[in-house]
Amino acid sequence: MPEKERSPFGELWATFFGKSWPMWVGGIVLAVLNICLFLVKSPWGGSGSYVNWGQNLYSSLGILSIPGLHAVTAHHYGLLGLMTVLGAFAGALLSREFAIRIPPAGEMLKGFIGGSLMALGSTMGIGCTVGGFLSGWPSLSGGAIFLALGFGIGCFLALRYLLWEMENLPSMSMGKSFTLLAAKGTSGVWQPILGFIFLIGLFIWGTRFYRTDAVFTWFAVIGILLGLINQRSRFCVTRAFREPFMTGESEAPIAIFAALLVGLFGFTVIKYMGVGTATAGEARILAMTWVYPHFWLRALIGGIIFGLGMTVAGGCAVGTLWRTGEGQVKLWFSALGFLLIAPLSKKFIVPGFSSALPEWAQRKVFLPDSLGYWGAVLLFLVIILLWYLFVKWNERTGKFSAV
Amino acid sequence: MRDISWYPGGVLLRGPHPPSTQYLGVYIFTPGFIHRVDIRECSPNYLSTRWSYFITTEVLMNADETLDCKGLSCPMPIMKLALTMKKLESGKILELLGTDPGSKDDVPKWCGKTGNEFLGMEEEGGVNKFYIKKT
Repeated sequence: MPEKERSPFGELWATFFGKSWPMWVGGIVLAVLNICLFLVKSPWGGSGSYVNWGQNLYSSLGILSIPGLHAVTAHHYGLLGLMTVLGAFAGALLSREFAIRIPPAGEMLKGFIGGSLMALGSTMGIGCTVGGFLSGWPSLSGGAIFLALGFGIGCFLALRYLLWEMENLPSMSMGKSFTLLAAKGTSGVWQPILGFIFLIGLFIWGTRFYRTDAVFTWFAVIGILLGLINQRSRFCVTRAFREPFMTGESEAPIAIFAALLVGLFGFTVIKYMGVGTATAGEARILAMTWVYPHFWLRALIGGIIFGLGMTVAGGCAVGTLWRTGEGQVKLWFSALGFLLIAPLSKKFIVPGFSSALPEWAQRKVFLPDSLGYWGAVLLFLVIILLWYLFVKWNERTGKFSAV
Repeated sequence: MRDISWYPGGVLLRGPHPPSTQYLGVYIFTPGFIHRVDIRECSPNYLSTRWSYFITTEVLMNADETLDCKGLSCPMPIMKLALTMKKLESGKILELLGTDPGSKDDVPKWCGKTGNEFLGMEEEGGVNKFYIKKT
């Protein structure tokens, strides 16, 4: 049977853009990029981008005045988030998966509500599924454990709601939908061509625009790669929390375990060795990076609210970023809700919330202080192992999976 | 149809396919219907020279029910699929229309996990059409 020989470039394209990457591969690469980001300045986080974007919007409209506000391209995380969206856009184009997908109205509403809940949860609890969990656990923060617990609880409750809604309010997810600019058949080759040009352009812009500032250059470059790899591997922390309760499949949880293990290793090396620091004081500051004052109740409450939002929206803070780049309009609304509510929450809700909570509910807990480095790492390894065993047992018995 | 090869007992067709995989079908024509006898999935870079013939034939293109999930993103397509399949009679074929790229992996996996038969996938005008048979 004659088979058309692919050119070397064709094979290269097929390997990276022909089909989705296994999620665990994405998890490992993203964790490595996270370590690089930490080495450059500070770890990966998602919610900070929306806070910056929203603050810029409100400031430019004259609604809020925020002292010390940086423009999106002059704010490390504002830029990181933007490049994540654009990198995902390039990745979607290159794999012919870009299309503007407009869902039924009920879905767009859920996107907005989900994004708004995530804005509340991430500002109140401190941290999203990436900044507070995927980076938070490797940072050896005790509060991050309760944040993750909150995500699980919120996700479980929201999933119950979605199942109820599908049976009792089916109109919320039914109705007219539109798909625009999809790649159709052989004429769809415009997508990979545009994607290639756009990707090159992004790298050129990122490196030239910031040629006088190394930190920004790396945030731009890493941001592009984060977006691209997230889209290619469809890496999704929301899914890792949700899947055991939905289909019972273990692919997504295992992918985040891979990311957590690699991250744990790299972050511990950095903090233990005090990489890039010269004095004990600087080393301490480095060690406390991404350890937020939220142990334990504050993290739990914020985590539950965020977990509800991410499940309803269909993506967490970073999930919203890469799906936005892929053209999923439901997640555009999630991003909108997130960036509109986050600055308001930060300014008006968080101060009251924080002062209402007692001091013991919102402490900065760096686990090596009480357990030593190896004890802290061991604690996370044990938690991951127990979580893995639960996921595998649930996959086999289907005890908790609803569909 | 891109490629047609004639064999005794049937015709080998290479039909519309997503960029990453090629679906080979051995079809037997009878008046009015196309019966799919076998479907094998091949990677883009080699062509299998062996294929097995299954006894069952299904009328592939005539779906009993259609589920429109266009515009819906994860997790909605799978949730709706599960709900619809629960109510479907055994032996019936469901056509699922979707636009979420993730569904290309999710739907076959869900079928494998729940024991329902995944008959194949087509892409038409930016919309993915999945064919699932309830066992």
